[in-house]
Amino acid sequence: MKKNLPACLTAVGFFVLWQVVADCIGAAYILPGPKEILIRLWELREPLFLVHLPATMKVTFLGLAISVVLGLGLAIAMDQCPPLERALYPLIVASQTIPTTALAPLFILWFGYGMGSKVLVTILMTFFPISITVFDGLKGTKREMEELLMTYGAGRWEIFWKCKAPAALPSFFSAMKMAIPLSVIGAAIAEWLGAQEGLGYFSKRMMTQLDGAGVFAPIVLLSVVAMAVVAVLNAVERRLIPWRKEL
Amino acid sequence: MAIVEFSNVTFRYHPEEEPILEDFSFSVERGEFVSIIGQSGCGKSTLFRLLTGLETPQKGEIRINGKPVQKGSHLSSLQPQKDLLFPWFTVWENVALPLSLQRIPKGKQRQAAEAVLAQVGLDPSLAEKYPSALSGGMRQRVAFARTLLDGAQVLLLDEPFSALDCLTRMDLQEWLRDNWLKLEKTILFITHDVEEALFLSQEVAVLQGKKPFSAALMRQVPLPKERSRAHLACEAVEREKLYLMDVLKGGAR
Repeated sequence: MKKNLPACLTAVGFFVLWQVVADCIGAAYILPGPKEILIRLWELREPLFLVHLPATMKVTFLGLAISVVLGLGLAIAMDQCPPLERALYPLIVASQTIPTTALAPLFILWFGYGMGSKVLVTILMTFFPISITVFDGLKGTKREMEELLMTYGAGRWEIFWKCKAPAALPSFFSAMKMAIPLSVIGAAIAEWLGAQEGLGYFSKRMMTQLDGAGVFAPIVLLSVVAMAVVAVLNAVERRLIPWRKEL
Repeated sequence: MAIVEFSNVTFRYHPEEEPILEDFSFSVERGEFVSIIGQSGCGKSTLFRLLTGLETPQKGEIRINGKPVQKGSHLSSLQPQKDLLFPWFTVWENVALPLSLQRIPKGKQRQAAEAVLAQVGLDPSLAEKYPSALSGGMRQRVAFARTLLDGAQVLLLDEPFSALDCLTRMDLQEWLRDNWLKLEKTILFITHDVEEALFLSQEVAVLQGKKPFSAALMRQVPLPKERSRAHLACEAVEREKLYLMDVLKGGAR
């Protein structure tokens, strides 16, 4: 707790300053203060929590789940097959310079306003960071450990399961902590571009009604959900890999 | 009868490099404790890499127990310089790692691991702990227990005590010396420390001079099998120590 105190104080200071500035401007349709946003969140609780949050979460988690499966699959395939690594890894690294959010409208254009295009945007945002980070984790295994297993007669897959996979677990968790907020952003962007439901769609609708607090309310909700999932992931990580610092 | 044999072995890491070994021949008798000494980077660990099949010689043959060493042949047990305990496994899982690779049932692995932990002087109650909970000396004992449980007749110990503090190192040297006869293993022990080599082994193999090596200078340690640290003070050992140090510096032959 003591460790987090400076960050907590900074956050409180930021929100107080925000409220003061918002009160001074006095135009809640442009810049509502945190207090107005929380009030609006409460007023809009039914559509937000019962309709739009579940819709966004469906896209987020479906996209994330597919990304994890594909990203892990590609990372493992590249690790086990050096020609594949040489063929794909430089391209994947280079693809990180493409602003993926700018590609999102293309998916809407190609696949329409249904759930598929939104899930694809989410996958586009999260697949590459997951595959690169996990692949780097697999490659970062201590060579001496692999060689020790070889001297015991271990084969390629035994080395993978006994050494590489556990050693790459911290990278997997780092990738997930990066991918979760990205998947939420991906889902929200896809919903902004065209949807009938979801927090991104709701935020855009509130904007057309010049409801500043209504625009912020779903953003707050999205941030809280992403932070909560990352906090759960941190707890799982601490429990699952207490040896992380030893690597 | 020789249990470890290098016959006219030539080895270099890269084709464009100078060989480390050229027509190198060397043998160790069954049940011997041989220390290998030489200057840093001279290629001592390369001998172990060849004996474990991690590297393949360009020419010649290496045999352990009469069988040719090949990649994955698993004829010796290696204990590297670092303890290399896997932080994600508990102590007993680390010790039983060679058995788990032989697909031995978990119950039997655990039993064997606890027995060998007791053999190396560790409390079996440590079995459930993770390596991070152990001291440097304990970690080395666990690593040694893993090497023992691997079951090979030839143990290759690559400077296993070099990272330990002086007292722990002396303690483990004495433990290894006392247990070598009971273990009935052939031990090859790489060290930088001439005194450690004299205290532990029956014979010292010196990689002397410049690469490539074609033989190791073999020196008998003038001490009985049953010995204590006090024996190191005798004149014959002192003379041998000075001689070996001189050889390492590139002087006497």
